[in-house]
Amino acid sequence: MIDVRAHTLPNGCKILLRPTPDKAILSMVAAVRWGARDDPADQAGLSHLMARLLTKGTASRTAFEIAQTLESVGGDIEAFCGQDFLGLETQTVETDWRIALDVLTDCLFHPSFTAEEFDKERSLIQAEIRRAEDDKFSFTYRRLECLFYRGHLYGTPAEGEVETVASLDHESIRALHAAIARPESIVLVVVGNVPDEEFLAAIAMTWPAGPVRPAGPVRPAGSPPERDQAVRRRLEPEQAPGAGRGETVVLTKEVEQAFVVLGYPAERPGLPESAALRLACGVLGEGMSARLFSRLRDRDHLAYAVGSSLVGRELASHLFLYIGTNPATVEIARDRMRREAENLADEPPDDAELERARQYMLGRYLIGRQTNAALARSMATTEIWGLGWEWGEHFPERIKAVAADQVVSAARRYLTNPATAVLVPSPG
Amino acid sequence: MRPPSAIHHERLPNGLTVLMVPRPGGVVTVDAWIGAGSAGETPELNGVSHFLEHMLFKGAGRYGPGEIDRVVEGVGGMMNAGTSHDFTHCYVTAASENFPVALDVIAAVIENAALDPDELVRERQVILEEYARKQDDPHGVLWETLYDRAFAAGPYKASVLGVPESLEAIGRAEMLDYYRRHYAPKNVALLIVGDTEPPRALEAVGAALGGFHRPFRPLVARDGAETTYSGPVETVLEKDVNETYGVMAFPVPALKDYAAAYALDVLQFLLGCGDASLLYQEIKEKRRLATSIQAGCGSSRYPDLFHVYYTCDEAKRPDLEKAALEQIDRVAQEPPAPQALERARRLLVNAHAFSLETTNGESASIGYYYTITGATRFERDYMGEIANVSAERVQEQAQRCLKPEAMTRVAVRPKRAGSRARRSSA
Repeated sequence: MIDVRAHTLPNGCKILLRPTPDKAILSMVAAVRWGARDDPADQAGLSHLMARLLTKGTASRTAFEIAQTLESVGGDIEAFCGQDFLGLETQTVETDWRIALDVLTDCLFHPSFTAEEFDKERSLIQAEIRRAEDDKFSFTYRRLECLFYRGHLYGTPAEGEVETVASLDHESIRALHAAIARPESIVLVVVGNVPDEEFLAAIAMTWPAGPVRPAGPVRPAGSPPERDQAVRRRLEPEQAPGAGRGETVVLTKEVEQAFVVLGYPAERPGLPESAALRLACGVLGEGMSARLFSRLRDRDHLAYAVGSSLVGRELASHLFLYIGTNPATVEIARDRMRREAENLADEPPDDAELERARQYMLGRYLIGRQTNAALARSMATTEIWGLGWEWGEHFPERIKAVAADQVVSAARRYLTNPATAVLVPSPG
Repeated sequence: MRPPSAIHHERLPNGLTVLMVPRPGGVVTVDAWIGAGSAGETPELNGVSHFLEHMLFKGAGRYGPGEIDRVVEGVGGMMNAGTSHDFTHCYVTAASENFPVALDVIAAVIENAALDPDELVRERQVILEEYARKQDDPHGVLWETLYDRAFAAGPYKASVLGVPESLEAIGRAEMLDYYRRHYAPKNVALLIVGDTEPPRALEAVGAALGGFHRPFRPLVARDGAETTYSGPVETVLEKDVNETYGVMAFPVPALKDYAAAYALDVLQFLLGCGDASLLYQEIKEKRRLATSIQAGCGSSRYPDLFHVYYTCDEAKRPDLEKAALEQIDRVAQEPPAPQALERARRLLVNAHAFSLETTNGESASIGYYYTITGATRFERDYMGEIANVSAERVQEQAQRCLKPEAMTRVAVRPKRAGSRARRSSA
């Protein structure tokens, strides 16, 4: 039995405390129910910039003092913003929990958003986007996601584009923070050992009382169906994910090696076929004995890097396959990879292959949850998605329950007609 | 921070070192560290250590090609390997009940790698693709150029990956000879970190590897004296990139003098690790010359490099380099302020402690320093020793090592005639 103490405070904030008796590391994740997908279309990157500015100065601390306070006890604090939620993450030693909580609280509720930091962070983010485009994988994958989710709320990268970030204004940052930094839209996950009573008392003392306002632009925190409906109301019919399926975006750069990414829709976490598709992804491209690696790399030597991954998102997940290959074989590699995905339904995995994929995933799961930070992130994510923090704990049971015919039917339903991004050497 | 666990340090009669750290958590890592890296290669065989590392899991002992992948992944294990200047290591991490599988695979790989001729020909293509990929990556180009330019001669001048000419020339005979010379009990440390009982684990290791006998006959005899640096030297390369990626590097001594090494690690954190570090604050935050900046220090068997790595707008590079040198000079001129020193020490101590959180992380930390120093003391004493590094010792290392007249600078900058990656749809 996992020892997690869940508390919902009078101000509406949900707190999950998970002690780790044999470890002295303390990881905290404060997740706010608001993400890049909620950015207005003409302000892509707004939430990301706002999140990044949280640690760049508060009413009582400069950016340097924030860093210095935590680093002088060997800790750190980092902001994050994905499509579904944003927030702050700290890592310290358990005995420094007061310092970590104090800085986290300060950054979350009292950021100063000075003009200087706004200006600086905006140009740093633009530089990061440019650097991401210097990397073959991120460059190609970024464009694939934009194509796949065209017209959808996930249609723009979380950090925005260089041009959209340039047009963000300071006042929108303040307004956004005022609207969303409210205890009732926050989940605080603490993995490590803290004295429960004192910890909760410290929060009660320093966090705003609430709920501050009942409605506002914050996504409702209710059950998944309620939230779904609320979100669907905001989605036009043509905004279904996968608008870019069947299309190809060709990118060029002075490279020696080509890169191809294929994107397919995937059932979002919590729906019946999601575990079957997860396993299909494993059979196809996770690990060195999976089909893509053993056939396209080891047998046919078409690639150095090849594989697949399923990216869970609250509204619409996707599954992608990737291959780095010689420019001369890019068309063959792309076709072969695409056929491997389509053939999964016609060439179903036998018991041994399925069991390999299952064991591979279970092993990765166990190994991947060795750190407190990983546990905290996982719990915060599924809690925000409305699945509850325990969702991740039951991954093994879900994977074990999937039968071969379910993998086949999930593959048949989802693994066809991908959106494609291809990076090839620029001519001349 | 709690002190790290004691290591059960054993040696089999054949000379194989076994280092065990029992810990709860249901996961175990079996990790073989071999003193075989690019530093021990001849120019003709440049890249053989890494090429060989790729071949290890392609069949060994009773495992045919592809079988190791199936067996390890079939029990949910994760395997990987790495090669650098001073070492090769390969490991399997798995649920602790699969310890026998992990040990069996690692034992087969270090004693009886098949080096199948057909697999070797195919794997060479994979490595040539890896080489191509590295040329496309600004970091890959930057680091390779740095080590090539900074050293006039010595064990770290050559690339770990090798070059197409040497890779084409490495056949099975050459690789097998290299394997037999280096994968010998006396040149291997086997790490077992995780949910196992040391006496039983040791018994299993004895059963699996007790009969492993092979003399260690290094291909190249080195003492590190052959290292010479080229600095001061500057190299600027143009590539299809959007930002400039640069590095400023200085000679540092080999990791023999532990006291110096601990002080250099603190210096690295003082200058450029964390958002409150000197370079981050001055160059990125206050003067906005860099879009990212950090420092690092090589702790290696032979003399290596201390570096400051940055990204920036090309137009700001001259000012950035000047400002970075001013910060470095300040540390050499006066001892660091108590608050700055304490920050660097605490952050470094915790970074080390946090790196031990996973079984992989702990075996990598112990294995690496054991391979470099031949003992476990440097690593296990690390946190205590770092906490004791004084301001004077940090200043002393800055004076001794960070000399502008010995500096190597490398930058990978955007092409001059506007070169943003183009997009088009088809």
